[in-house]
Amino acid sequence: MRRAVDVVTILQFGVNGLFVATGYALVALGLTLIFGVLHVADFAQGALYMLGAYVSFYATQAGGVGYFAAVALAMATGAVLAALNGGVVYLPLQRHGGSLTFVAALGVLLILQNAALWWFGGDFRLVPSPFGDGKFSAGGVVLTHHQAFVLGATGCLVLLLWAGLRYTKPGKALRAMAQQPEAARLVGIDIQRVGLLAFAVAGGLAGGAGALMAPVRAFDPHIGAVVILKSFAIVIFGGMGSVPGAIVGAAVVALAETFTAAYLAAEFADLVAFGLMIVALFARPQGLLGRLPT
Amino acid sequence: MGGEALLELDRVTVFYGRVRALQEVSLQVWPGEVVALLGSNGAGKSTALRLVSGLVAPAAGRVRFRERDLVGLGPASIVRLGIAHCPEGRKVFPEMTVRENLEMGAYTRRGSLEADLERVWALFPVLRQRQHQLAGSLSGGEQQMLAIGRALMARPALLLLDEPSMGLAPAVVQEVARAIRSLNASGTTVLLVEQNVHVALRIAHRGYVLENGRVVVSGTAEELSRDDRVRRAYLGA
Repeated sequence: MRRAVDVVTILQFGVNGLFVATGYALVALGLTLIFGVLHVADFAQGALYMLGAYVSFYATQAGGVGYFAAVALAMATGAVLAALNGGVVYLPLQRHGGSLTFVAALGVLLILQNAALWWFGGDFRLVPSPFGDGKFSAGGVVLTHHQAFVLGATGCLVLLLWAGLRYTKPGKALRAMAQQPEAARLVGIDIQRVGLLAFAVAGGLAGGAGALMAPVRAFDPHIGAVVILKSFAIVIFGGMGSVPGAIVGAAVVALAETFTAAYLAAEFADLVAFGLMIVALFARPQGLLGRLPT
Repeated sequence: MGGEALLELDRVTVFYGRVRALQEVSLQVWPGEVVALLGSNGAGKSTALRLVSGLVAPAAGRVRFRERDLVGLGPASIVRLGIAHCPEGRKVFPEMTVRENLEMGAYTRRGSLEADLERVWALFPVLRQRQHQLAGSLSGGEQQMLAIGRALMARPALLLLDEPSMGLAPAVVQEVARAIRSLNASGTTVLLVEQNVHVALRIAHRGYVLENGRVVVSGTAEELSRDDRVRRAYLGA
């Protein structure tokens, strides 16, 4: 299939790509935060994205909750489950070495995925958007109201995360842990508590991402694995532990895959994300914006 | 000296895995002193400091600070009791500004930090000029000053200093030495680990020499600088 190569079409794919990037960015930010602070590759964050989508589905369809409240509920669910998972599984395992947490993370992802299959069934779901079919249109480029809302909400969350890390005391403790763990302990930072905070923030972002994307992207219990693999590739591409790297990485990967799907073939789209990851590993092992450990 | 020791290690043994890093080490630090731990690489000096600040736990023995048992307390509780540890290799937070690094040093405290910042600026004026620079962009000497300043922000009664002269130019070593004497004169007790024995014996009142995790010699700085074993092994006499 050949697509037109005109300005409007290219801009439209650009808009679509940026929208896809928001979902990736939120999950990748959480992953990179957890990795930076605790050196845990938390694959279970994918399951929290999936559960966030289901929370928004059942809250709006069965619980009579409004969509925006459902997004908040999905974030809270993600935050609580991530902190629980961190406190019960990862932190106790961590003192036995990193590879154990890696295996445990995959285990938690699969357990939650299969539990979801059992509880929710394997049907694809879609949550009705509170904005209906409303859309903005400028010179032929279309942005639905829901897409605009998700872009705005993601922008706000990223800004909030940035300001929290930069200006609040718990945020500074997270950065200190990531930059120099031993000194962080010596100035009196409780690494368990700060670790749980990192998990909760990441889980909130993943759960929120699931709920934000639920009206646009149909989901079943397997979506967690798809999302987390891609987000993981983004984090490696952007630089493990780098917050700007996660955002730039998400944008690059989402745009690349949108244009690949449009101009080459949809089957190649996933290849692009992992291709970029492998190229990054060869050309710049620390990632786009990452730093080599000193 | 009369009164009670500020810090006391009583027959402490520490293992790293199966390696015995400290073996029945006993030492005392009295209020107002600068005490040096001397010895070659791997003698157990840094381990002794890591033990006091709660980074490692002893297999046997007691660690007491102001009569209080420290064993089992984590680093966060120990900082609150009044012990700050300036670690080997400075370990500043590289992507935080100088000022943020200092603020992190006061992590366990509440209230205004202005008086404490003024004290650090007075001790190391160059840090005031660099306060908005990232710590990772500082020279080695400035990073050492920042690491000491960060530890002081906890308002410690006892400062643990690990190898403050390591890798520094002689002029900077003099400046750091002067600062240690000055903060000691204003009431901070110091337990100092130092490979540069010349420098250590000039700053310290007393010292202990560790070999293979044991105390082999101890005495006043003057006694140690006259001791044949110390002279042969460390002073190149």
